[in-house]
Amino acid sequence: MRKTRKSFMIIVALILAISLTACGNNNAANQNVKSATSNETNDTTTTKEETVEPVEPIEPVELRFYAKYFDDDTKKPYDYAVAALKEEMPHIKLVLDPMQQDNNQKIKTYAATGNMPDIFEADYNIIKAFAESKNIEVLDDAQPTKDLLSNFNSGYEKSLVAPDGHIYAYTGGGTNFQLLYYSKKAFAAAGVEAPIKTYAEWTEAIKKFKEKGLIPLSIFAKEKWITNSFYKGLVTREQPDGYAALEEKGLTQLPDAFKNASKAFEDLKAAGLFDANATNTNYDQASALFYTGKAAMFVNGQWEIYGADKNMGSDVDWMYWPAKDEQTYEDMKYYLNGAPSPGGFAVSQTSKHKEEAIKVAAFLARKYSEYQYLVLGNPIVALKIDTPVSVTPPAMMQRVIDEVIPNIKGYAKFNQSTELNNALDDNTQNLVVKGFTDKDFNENIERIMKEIN
Amino acid sequence: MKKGANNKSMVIKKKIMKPGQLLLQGVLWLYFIVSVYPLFWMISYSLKNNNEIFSTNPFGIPTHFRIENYIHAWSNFNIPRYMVNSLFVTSISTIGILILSILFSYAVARMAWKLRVPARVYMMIGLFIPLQVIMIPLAILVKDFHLINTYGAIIVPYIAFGLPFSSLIFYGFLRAIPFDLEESAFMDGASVYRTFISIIAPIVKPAIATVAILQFLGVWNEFLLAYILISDESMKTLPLGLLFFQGQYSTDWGGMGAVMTIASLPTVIVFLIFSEQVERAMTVGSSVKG
Amino acid sequence: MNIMKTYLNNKRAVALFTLPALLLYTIVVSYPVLQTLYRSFYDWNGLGGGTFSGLSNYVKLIHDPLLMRSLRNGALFALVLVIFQIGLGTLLALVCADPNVKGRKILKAGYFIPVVLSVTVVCQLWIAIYDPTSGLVNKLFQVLGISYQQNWLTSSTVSIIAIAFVNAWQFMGFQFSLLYAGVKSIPEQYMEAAIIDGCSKWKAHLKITIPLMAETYKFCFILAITSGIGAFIQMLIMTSGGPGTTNYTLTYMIYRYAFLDSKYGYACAISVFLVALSLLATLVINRLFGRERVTY
Repeated sequence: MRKTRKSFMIIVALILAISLTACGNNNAANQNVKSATSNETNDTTTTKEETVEPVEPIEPVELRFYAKYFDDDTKKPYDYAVAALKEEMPHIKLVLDPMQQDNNQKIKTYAATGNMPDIFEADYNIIKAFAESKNIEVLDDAQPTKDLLSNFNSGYEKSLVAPDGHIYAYTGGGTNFQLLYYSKKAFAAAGVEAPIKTYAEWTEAIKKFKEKGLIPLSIFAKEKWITNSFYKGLVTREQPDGYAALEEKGLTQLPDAFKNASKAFEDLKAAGLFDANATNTNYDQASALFYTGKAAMFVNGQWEIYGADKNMGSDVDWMYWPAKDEQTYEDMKYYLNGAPSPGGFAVSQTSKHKEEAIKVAAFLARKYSEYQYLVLGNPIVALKIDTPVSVTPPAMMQRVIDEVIPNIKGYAKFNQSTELNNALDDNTQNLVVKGFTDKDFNENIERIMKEIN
Repeated sequence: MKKGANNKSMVIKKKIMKPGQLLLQGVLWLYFIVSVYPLFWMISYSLKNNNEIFSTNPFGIPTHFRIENYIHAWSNFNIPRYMVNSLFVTSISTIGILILSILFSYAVARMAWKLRVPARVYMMIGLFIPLQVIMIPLAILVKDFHLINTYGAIIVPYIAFGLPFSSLIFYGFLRAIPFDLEESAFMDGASVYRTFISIIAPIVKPAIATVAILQFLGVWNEFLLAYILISDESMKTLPLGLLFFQGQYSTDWGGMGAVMTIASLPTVIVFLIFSEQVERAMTVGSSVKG
Repeated sequence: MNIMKTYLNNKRAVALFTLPALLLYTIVVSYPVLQTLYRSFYDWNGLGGGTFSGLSNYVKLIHDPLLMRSLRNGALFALVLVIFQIGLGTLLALVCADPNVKGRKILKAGYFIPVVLSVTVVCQLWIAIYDPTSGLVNKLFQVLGISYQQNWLTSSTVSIIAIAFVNAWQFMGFQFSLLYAGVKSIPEQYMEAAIIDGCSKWKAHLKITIPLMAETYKFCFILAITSGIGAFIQMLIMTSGGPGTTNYTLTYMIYRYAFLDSKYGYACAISVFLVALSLLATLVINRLFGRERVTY
């Protein structure tokens, strides 16, 4: 008697483990049943679509959509696009699987476990990894691709194509670039004239701001991409192709344009351009410094125009990137530092409703950029949109529309190597800190170049 | 009676070494404040906005209590549901860890078999495994066992990953118990099982309480596995609530503070209840040994 | 003694006690680790097939400049943990075990509070404390008239120590509770005997209590040193390993190569190295603390 009772006690552990597994099995079985049925429905849908007129009610199709959905920048376009989808394709039921900024950990796990969403937001890192492992559908010949491209503004047709020559993801968005924002009040107070055109003027201005107790430029250098963009802003004054120029076979020496840029970066830092705590400053802190007048300048993408306008109204404007001399400044100001990068809404190769998913992905890409253009008045979209814009864009955006868009001479070119880009992230951030010089920077980047070229 | 006498002698002693004692007490309470302050800080953090958190008032009491952070958290996700999930997952995991690791440690620490040292070292390797890199193989495993989108997807790994640490703690405690305790029990004709239940288990109670607290906390706050392995909204645990406040560029830090407070307070309470238990059990344990 | 043997030799009992744990652990922990080992010989992006590349990942690791930095940071991190957690933990444990100290219960609970909070909360707090202008550390130095004010999280020399301190501080209570239990488990007669022999209280602790706690200390050291070697989350939250790569550790390298660079095979090789290093550290600690002690 006793013995059995004790054994029973001890076996509790085993039972626990087993029952858990059993639970899992049940659930998984249920899921299998579910997906089997939806599979069937899908089959019927496709056949129906081919043979029957669309008047007939179509069987609903459920698509899992892995997309960012956590703030106004991501929720509003989603809601806009989904509302439009409901009208256009009422038989599609989009199930949102919210995506986080996690360096693609989750989507890679999805791929590894064969649990891919039908449609997902893919950046180049994911496209590259998924193209090799066949987790992403090649869209080159799909009809929606042709339809989408036929609506693109001229010059943008290539923007969907990845470096391997294939199209993997849809986007109707344009290429982002970074600007230097400045506070008119701060400039007036310190007696600095805008725009700053040369590095010499910039250094002079830094002195004046510091005398006034202002932070010359606030930057959220806790995030590495912004220091990367800052450096790219300097590089593109002399090498409009940007980092792509570093990816030349056999090239192991940093070209002069890059050395000059890192020297300028170093000199500006030494002059005191950045706050001492810059690399621990997040976006919320850095933007607050600028909005509240504690910093004279701020660096961010053109999307910041909305936030800056809301917080500072007519007190804020933007300038082009300064260069080594005024001639270079004038010559290069319409070369933007942003580089187009393949990415957007992609479709899983294992999706059970691939046809539908491709259609929906293209539709969503269209609607997302329509939202940018129509609702935000953002002109930087690849897609031709005929509907007239009803909103008045902020003054700074109007300047982009009037002054920049018609005159763009070029964007930086896309650089493929994630290794190089990560090294640039690390080293540009380090360059913001005292004690790390342009020499260290050049050395480190040249080491990576030796590896990749 | 005896106690009173003791107290008297203490009083006399104290008078002699007053300055030293006073200084010691002062230092102890100072460090106490340093340790408890984060609790206060977290709660005030959860009632501030970004501006107060970062520039105007990072350390003090909020100038204006922003209850809306909590309301916002409440409306963003199903807090009771998340809480129940957390409670369920954490309890089952903790119980699982306790049972499996105490049995394992008993065999390793006190029984005689050939492979006990290798078994112990083998288990210890688990302490050093960086979760990041085995995430993908682990996720595949979870799928192969059909655990995806079940509570088992995280409970099973939680138990497995809790084993090395708990086993080591139990091992230490179990080794410290004099062997003659069991000897006398065996002499009386008790079986291994009976000895384990009636002699060993009561003695290691303080260890059980300690491990229970530590594992409960660890599992309760765990984020990475839960984030990667649970996608089903109805099974998410509290730490995942943090995700609702991280924006693409901007983050609602006060809202995150609210979620963190909601998530942490239960653990603080659990701890305060259990620490009393630990203390009581600990004294019982030492008296047995003494 | 014979009876003991027959009882403690009970094979069925051994199996019943150990198999559930070993089975679960082997499937969930060891199997993925073996896969990691296997994949460390591959050029692999984490998905798809990958190609066998022999030892090249390991050769690459030896030449990776981040390795030396990560090792140095890991060593410093471990050092801070050992000094602060075990040093202070021991002092506090001895003091709190002394019945003359008032409010021990409250003190003990208080010291444990940081352990209860999530790492995110604690890191956010310390980011604010380390702030060069509004932070408490620099303010404190200012008040005390010490001119050691600086930029705690960006300096290439002190930032790793500053970050390690956050971990050390948060989990001190953890080591403290282990040590406290250790102190408590030592029979009081030992101390009493020493004091009767004329030892002062602290001397008695040094001669009696601490040596008797060798087993506890062994565990505490293993814990502190291996968590120093494997440190990660504080770097991720507080500085993202930066500025640049200043605060990289082995685990941070793994994270970066696996998920940012998509070099999963290489990340696996680093993981294998990390596990081997931790194991080695554990063996050394075991050696240093001598053979297992017989119980009193």
